Amino acid sequence: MKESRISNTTDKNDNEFDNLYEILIFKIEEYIDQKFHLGFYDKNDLQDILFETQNFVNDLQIVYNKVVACFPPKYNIFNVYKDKYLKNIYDKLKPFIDEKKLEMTPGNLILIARWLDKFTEGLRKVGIDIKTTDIGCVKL
Amino acid sequence: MEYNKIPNHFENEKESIKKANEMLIKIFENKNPSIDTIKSIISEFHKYENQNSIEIFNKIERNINESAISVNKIGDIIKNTDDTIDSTNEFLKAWEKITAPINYYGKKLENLMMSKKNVSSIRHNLSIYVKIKDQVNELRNLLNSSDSNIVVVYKQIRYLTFLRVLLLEKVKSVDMIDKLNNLADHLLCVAHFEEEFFEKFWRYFQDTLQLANERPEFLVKLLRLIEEDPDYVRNIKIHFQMYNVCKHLYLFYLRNLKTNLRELIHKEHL
Repeated sequence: MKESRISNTTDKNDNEFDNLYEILIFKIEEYIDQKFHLGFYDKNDLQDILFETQNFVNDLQIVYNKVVACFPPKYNIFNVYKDKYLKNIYDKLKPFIDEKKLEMTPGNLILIARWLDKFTEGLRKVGIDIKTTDIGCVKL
Repeated sequence: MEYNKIPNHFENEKESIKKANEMLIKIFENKNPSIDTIKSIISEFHKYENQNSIEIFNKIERNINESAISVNKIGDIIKNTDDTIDSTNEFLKAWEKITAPINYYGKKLENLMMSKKNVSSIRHNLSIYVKIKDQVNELRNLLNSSDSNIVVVYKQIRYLTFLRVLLLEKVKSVDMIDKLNNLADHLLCVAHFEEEFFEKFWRYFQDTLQLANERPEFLVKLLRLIEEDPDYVRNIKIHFQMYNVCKHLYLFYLRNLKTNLRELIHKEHL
């Protein structure tokens, strides 16, 4: 089980039901991974991948605008979604963001540049500044 | 002392008897007469010596003899009393010997009654669990009929799970496994349903985004259940602890009552 990320933990005892929060976060992360897996399943072309990524950014906007209001603040639910989404996107794009590869396929560089504008704009709507956001230990 | 002399100066015999009687009373009244008293009595007797006084003194002598007999009798009675006290002491010792195993078996009986009570309560719980099997089926139907029933089912399954934990704890201390053969099936039934329920429960969070868009109130309800859960179970625990305290107080009261009764019976018997 993952380490508890709840901000104001209440008095913990050895009750078997106390880890429901942990199970919830684990399940949500599991579903996000599953969603990305299905979303990128048949996408090998960069253009398709970038297009699909826009849908995930839209998801983050729903989380920011609607999901956060439903969850107790101490759950930091937006951060859960944000970290997991950005990490999945980064992991998928990482193989394409290679200087040598981009030199060979300059068209991709143009696609990524266009996508980055939209992506940055989309993230700004949910309060994320792409220049200062860490994904794992990697800065975008 | 000579009592043969017959005085001549008394004319009235009745008067002499009266005087003699008075002296006799004096003798009996003075249990430890002093020498002066005896002398005065003798001098008095010398004054009233006559035929009657001889009879009186003979009578006194007879009385003294009879008193000696009485003293002997009293001695016998005292001896008998001592014997009786000795035999009573022996009887008390014998009684203690008899009551010791009775008390011992009394305690055993008390323990036996307690375990019998435990077994009967477990049987009662078992009968509840037989009903629980039906209840689980009802809950399963309820869960399948509508999503909105999930809150009710959640509470029920949590309570059943809690009962299951308690019952398992109780069953540990019971040797009558053969009497509780089908208990495992019923407990397993709750465990299976719990797994089935939570599989569905967590699946709702797969569609968190959709729920937040279309049915936010439902999502909030689900989250509130998770939030309230530790408190909910803790409350049940508190109630159970209160029940236990009351039970112990009642048993303590019963034990005291039994001891008092035993002492009372012991005293009555003595």
